[in-house]
Amino acid sequence: MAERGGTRGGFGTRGGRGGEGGRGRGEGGFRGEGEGRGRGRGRGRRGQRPKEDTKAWVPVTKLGRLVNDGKIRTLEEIYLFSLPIKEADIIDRLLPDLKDEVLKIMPVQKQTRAGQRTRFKAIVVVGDGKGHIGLGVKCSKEVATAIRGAIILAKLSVIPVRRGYWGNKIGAPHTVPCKVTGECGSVLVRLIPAPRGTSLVCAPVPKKLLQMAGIQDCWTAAKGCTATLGNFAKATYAAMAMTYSYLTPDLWKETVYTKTPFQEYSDHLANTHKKYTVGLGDKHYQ
Amino acid sequence: MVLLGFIDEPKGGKTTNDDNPSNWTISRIGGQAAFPNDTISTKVKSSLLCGKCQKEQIFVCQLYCPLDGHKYDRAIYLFACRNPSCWNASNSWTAIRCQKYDETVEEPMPVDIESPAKVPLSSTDWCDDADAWNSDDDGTTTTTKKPAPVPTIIKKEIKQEPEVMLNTMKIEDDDHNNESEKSSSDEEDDNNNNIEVNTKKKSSNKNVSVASSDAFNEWKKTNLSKQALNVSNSASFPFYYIVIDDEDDIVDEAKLNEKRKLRKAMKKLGDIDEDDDDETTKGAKEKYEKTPDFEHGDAVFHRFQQKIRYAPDQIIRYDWSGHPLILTKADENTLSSAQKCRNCQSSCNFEFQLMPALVNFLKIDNQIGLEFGTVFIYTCSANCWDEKNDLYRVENVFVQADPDQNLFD
Repeated sequence: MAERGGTRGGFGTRGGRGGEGGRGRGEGGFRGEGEGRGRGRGRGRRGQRPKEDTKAWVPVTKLGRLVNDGKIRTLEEIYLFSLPIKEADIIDRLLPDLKDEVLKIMPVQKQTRAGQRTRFKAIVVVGDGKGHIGLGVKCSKEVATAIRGAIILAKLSVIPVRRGYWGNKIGAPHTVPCKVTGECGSVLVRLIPAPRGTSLVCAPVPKKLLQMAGIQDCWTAAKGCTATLGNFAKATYAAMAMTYSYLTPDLWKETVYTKTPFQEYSDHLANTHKKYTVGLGDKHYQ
Repeated sequence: MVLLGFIDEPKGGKTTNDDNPSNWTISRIGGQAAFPNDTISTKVKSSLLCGKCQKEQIFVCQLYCPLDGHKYDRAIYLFACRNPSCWNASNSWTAIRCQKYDETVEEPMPVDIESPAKVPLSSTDWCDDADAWNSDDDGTTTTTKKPAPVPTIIKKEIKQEPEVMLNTMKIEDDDHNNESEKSSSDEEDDNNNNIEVNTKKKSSNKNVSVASSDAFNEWKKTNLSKQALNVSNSASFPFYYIVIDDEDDIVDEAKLNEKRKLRKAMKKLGDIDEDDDDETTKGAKEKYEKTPDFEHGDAVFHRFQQKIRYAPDQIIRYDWSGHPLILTKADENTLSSAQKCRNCQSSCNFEFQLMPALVNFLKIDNQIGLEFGTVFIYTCSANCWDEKNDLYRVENVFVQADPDQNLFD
């Protein structure tokens, strides 16, 4: 690649297009813009730019900037505030020990006028073994590109997985908190809490996902065409997503912050108004 | 042909040959503006007031950008208002263009390569699509077959941004959610055959409880405290030079590097079974997935990211009379307001845009001093200039906010 001539350190259509003309146009000598060297803030200084491996992450979104500055320290804060994650580097920064694994790469074909066109579809699962799981599916003409794209998509889809107990609440949570089910296409996957030591009783595909999520014991029941690996994996992912959507009794006591007006002004109301028996002021309804 | 600008050395860096802060023909950010002569700097101060709050604007960057076949030295200066309430507003930015006649510039050789600047939109469209032959490259253009340069104008109201309705807390039935999501996305696909927008409004229908919105507000108070604007005239952003590079070169090089790296990684993976027929049973064949399924659902931002992924640290994207790379969807009306020259009434065309990566370098006392999503600069297509009287001309600016800015406000 020809070294781009300095063009008086400028952008612009002049001296840029066609490149080679830049040097021949007498710019090198004029304006003292560094003849021969550097050409001012000219172009073609790719040597100075750092190589891709050593590049630090430059955030592009506001959330990315906040994460980069350390204003957001955990992924849970992002979940709590319901902020969309649009940069995969955010996940990298917040979950440094995230592992990824390729579930399968398969060729898929599409019929075009000029015959069949084959692309490769990669299914990747990422997880840290501590309650976070992500699943990414990407199709591309080349295998490597598909894998790379799938890893990024998987990182963008990281969700928390709630773990609970089968019986006694001793030690760390080890299984799903309740029976949850997830569906994708024709595949239905049901995760059932299991006692400690059961280990994961399931097919290899959900086993991989459950392992990466950090679930140690689980019984499963699957229905539908589980040979479609994409749907099977997505159904398991959907089931794990349900764990935090399910309202279990220990979450019932979500505190209500404000008193109802009837309660707050009950004395005043009792004195000045006739009390209508609606029941809201009653203690039993706390 | 798109040119990209990157952050180079700060003032007084190693290459001291052309370390001249008062040279107006150097592209840089921060510091103080360097005008061709001092009279301009005194005269222009009067117009450097924010359109919203009337406070003085701070200098952001200057770009040296002479035009083809044009015997002028030309530079564009950008000023913006530091007031946090004025961020992301187009009228709080000012763009100034200064020119100086330069005798010594030779007429360019009549090379064919110069003509792209004047080629009208329609013919380049045709050429762009010629490669797209049913083949997508690396999934970057999976979703669009339409001419790439046209800014994405989605006429149908597609609600993509998750609207966290803090006041309406409903416990929604999950089944109901899924159904409505599916039906809406089907609708979208039918009507919008150009852009297959993934309108999975997952986040918008989440249960937002009282607790989380309170917690968010608390967090916002402590962390996003927008410091009071201390209007000191000497406040300026840190000084950095800009190095310019060609987008095509960078992309080609990055693709090569990527392939090399991935090939090594692939070897670890072992042989991929490409002959898959024996494994799949009837009806279990994997389908060809066209659109990547991303959780956040913002297709426009995803496309933006795909475009810049080979050089994510770019701060300037220069494409004279080209098309801006939009960050969020922009409708026809707002963009067209920036497309008429204030001085000569001829149309303006897009010249360059500031990229979000620049925000990281606009820090004062290590705090972010100015925020935006992306900023488009539209300049007069005729490059109007009155040699005798003119000192400077004002150009049009259009600002797009970060896609999730409304969540943080």
